[in-house]
Amino acid sequence: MNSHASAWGAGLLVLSAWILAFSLAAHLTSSPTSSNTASGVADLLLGESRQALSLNLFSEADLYFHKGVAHRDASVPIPGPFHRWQTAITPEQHAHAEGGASAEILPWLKLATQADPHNVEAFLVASFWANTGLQRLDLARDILNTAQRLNPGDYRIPLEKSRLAITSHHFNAARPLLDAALTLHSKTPSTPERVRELTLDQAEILTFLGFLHETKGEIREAITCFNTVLSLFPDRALIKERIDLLEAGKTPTDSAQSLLERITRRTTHDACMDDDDHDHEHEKN
Amino acid sequence: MSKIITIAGVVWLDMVRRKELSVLLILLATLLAALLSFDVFGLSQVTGYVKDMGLLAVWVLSWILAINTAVRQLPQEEQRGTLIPLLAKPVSRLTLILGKWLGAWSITCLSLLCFYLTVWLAVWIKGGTFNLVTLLQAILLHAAALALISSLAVAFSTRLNRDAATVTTYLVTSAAFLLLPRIPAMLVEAKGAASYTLFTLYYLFPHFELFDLRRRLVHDWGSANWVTLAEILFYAMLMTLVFLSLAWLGYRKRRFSRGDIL
Repeated sequence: MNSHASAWGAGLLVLSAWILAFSLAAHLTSSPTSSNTASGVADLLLGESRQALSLNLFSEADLYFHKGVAHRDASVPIPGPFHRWQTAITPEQHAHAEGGASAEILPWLKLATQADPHNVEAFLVASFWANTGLQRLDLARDILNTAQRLNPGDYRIPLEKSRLAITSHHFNAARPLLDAALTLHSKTPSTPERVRELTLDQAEILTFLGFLHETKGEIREAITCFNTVLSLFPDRALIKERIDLLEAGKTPTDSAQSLLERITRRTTHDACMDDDDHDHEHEKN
Repeated sequence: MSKIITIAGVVWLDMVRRKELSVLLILLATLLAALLSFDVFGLSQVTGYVKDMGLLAVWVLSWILAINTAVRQLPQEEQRGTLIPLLAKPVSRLTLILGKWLGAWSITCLSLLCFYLTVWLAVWIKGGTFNLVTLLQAILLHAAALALISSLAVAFSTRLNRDAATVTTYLVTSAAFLLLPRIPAMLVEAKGAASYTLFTLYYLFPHFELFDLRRRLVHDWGSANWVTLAEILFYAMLMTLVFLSLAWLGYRKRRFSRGDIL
């Protein structure tokens, strides 16, 4: 009996020590001066499981965006009361958290970035929610600055920063950010899984740059940017039409600035990648 | 009935002496303190993650406590050598099983209330709250799940030694928690014998996922339908009776000799 009591005590002591160590590590790794060292030690101890943990926490954020309603896999209906009971007690309506309620998503994204500081997607999504959900541009910028400090070679961060600059009408600040994004993009190795994402992002950077050149009256540079976009996606009729108008020296109906604002504006609806046709409920606080 | 309550009272006294509840409460409080100190980009009144992780911790701790408390009751009497004197008294084996189960379940339920109170306090400190009706429903269903887990642990402990019964109960309950909700999706790919096996497991194992109202509670979906809740509680009662009957069947003819016990 004593040995069992000792085993209980030892187990609980180990668990308590682990929780204490985890919370200490969470605080220590948020310090800028020690982040690289801590990351190295954590990498050494946890290895790939760190990324798995981060992805898991990231998917928890998605669950919070959908107010706890998980994506449903295909399933076989099984007769009996269990399915009926499960449906009755588990929320299944498709819903989104918006406004103040979207703050509940952020802890999971912060945990995801602490578990794996190289999970750039988590930083970008956190910045998106800070800006779009909470209307906290300052917080969104802070998140992206942290992301850039930890991942200086990732083009997605200056691209997102430029998007923030454009939405807040800081067009002059957006230009060097887009140039930096384009430079970093060219250095990003292409893999079969990322080739489409890289092409789409390159086109996005060039489109933003093209419109920025246009707002400054740099028509030749704008046409060069748009032509590169067209070489990547020849089906983009609006870009082709715009090139034709600019080359003909005509003024397009939609101004470059209005188009820039339109294509950089994103809402919480854009964050929902579902294509199902459930009723949507949006919670605002 | 009074004999059952007396035996349950002995389980309570043993539990008080062990101080397990205090240790688990300190553990839960440590976890919640770590969660409360977590800085979410300087935002205040973000409580979802505290509720979520706190309730998860409550489930894990109560699961551990229910199994460890229920599974040791009968083997402990054998190890201490108090079983034969106890059975020599006018106490039937069914009474013994019911008393041990009731004691283990009721003390786990009391612990459960303390756990929920601690989480509620942490959420309140953070500036949040729970829907009280949903919270009551969650506690009711959770207590029903613990009744089922305790009865399963007692049933295993009637035929296995303490360690084997503990491991088996952990395995069966965790498999039921994790596997059963996925069976409808797994059946999409399953063919032939695999499909029949999955169907059998689906109906045979207890459905613990039905007792989990955490999502409804954390994401403020409001209270569940009371009729459905009553049906699930009735299901839990039936399953508990089945496991206690199995425990009795396994124990009623079991022979003990002083040499084996001491």
